[in-house]
Amino acid sequence: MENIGIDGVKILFQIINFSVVIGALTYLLYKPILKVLEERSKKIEEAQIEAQKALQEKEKIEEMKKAARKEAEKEAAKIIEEAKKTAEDFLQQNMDEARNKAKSEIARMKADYQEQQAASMKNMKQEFSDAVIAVSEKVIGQSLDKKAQAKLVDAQLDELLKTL
Amino acid sequence: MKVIVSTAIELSTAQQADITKKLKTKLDKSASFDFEVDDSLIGGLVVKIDSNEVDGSVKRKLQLIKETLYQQL
Repeated sequence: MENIGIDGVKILFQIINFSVVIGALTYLLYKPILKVLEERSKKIEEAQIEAQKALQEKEKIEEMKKAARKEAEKEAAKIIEEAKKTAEDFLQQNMDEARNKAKSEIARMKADYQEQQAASMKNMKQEFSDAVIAVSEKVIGQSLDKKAQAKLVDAQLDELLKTL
Repeated sequence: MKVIVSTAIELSTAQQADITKKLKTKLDKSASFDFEVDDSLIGGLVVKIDSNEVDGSVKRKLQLIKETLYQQL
């Protein structure tokens, strides 16, 4: 090999030197980097798991919120329905009361009116009777002459004697 | 016994005597008679014997008619 210009010792030295460098690099650089990469990968994985958990938690919270909203809406609808029913009942009751009150008021007014009408009619008839009697008194008084008066006295006396 | 006879017009003496005579047939013979005029009676006569009164006047008749009319209202 010396004939072709290659120094075997030098090559051996170079091989040993290269091996030492490779070993040193492996020990000092490759392994720590690998370790760091593994740790980083582990951290990422943990972070992903955490993120997944957080996502699940968030979804769970969302579902809970959704359920709570649904429950609240249901409760609100129930309250509104009850309030509506209460209002309707109240309105119905008040309307019934008002209707009954109006009916009795109308009946009372009708009775009052009829009573007033009857009283007015009675009064009118009484006035008419009074007028008839007054006119009769005047007419009879004027139409009775002495002869008629005497006849009337005799007739009434005869009637009176029958009762004695 | 006191008898008071009221009429709407004044009666003649003959009429008064006739009434007295007729009433005495039914009443005490010693009854005393008074004759009064009350034109509100309109016609007929009212005879008051002591505290009793018999009303045969036109006024009373009309009053009865009026009462009947009132009752029928």
